[in-house]
Amino acid sequence: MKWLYLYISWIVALIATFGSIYLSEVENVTPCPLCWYQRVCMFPLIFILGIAVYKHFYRITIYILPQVIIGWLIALYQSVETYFPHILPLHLCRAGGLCYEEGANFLNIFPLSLLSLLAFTLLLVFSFLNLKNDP
Amino acid sequence: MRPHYFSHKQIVLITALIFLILSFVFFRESEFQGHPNLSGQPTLGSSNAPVEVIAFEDPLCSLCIHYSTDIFPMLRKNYIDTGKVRYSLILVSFIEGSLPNAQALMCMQYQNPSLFFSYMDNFFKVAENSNGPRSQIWKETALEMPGIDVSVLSHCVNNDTYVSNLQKNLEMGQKIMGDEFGTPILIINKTVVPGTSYETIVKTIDKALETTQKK
Repeated sequence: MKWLYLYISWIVALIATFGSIYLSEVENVTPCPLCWYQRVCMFPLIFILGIAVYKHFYRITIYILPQVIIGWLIALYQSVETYFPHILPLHLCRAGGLCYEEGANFLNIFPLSLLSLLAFTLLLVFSFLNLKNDP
Repeated sequence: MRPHYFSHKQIVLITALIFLILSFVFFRESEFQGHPNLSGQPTLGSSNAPVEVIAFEDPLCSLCIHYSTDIFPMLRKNYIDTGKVRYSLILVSFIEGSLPNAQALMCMQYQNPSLFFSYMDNFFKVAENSNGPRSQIWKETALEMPGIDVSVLSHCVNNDTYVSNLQKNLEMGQKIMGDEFGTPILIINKTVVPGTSYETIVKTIDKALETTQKK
């Protein structure tokens, strides 16, 4: 079961990374500053989790937890700012790339901030499941 | 939970392989999306030419001056005049002092399109050698050329007649190329090439010619 959790986490990281690179490089969506911080947290996971899942190294969870939590917090911040722009005093995304505009959508249905939040939430859930099962 | 057919390690390797293949499929070529609107833009060459080249230039960008004085004449002689390439130019203006020049060039295109390319050639020659104010190169060029009414161009420049056209051109370039947009840049059929090396441009055009011949 632990292996499956780790494997799914890896798949989530792979999809998020490739999706993000696809949107910026092929669809020319400019990543905003907040998106870059989330990418910093997400991109290394494809290698770290890939090796861990290959080697059955379940203790990796504790090592990746900081970046997963930070990425999750940034994604949460961005989602809140997208849907409730008046709650938060800071507006970090205005100057750079597209954060709240139409471009920041996948297939015109899913806002990228929510997709990112979903990915980090999944990683967080599987990380905790793995930690809970730790003997 | 252990799958029947594959070991964990095999599953990991297969997954990695699938993503590797997918990435090759999706990132193979960086082709731009959509097509620039060419109506009203200066165009050269036969409308039946097999390859379409669209260039974006800012009149005062130093690489554009190099492109227009050293590379474009060869391109024109070997590809446009021989009917292989249909060439369109999209003027943009984002460099300090280039707006009056870009407007004068646009003005020439709208008022007297037959003179546009010779005016542009002279413009870049003057821009390369002139020590005068950079924003007045259009005037210096016009005064040197017989048959050009400077007052018409002055009227366009002073009234900002083509500012919105230039802004639209810039937005078009940025929409197509995103962050990579800069000048001089060429779109050859669907491939984006910087206008800095004649060899690269020729190689891309030849490849496009080959592809169209196969079809």
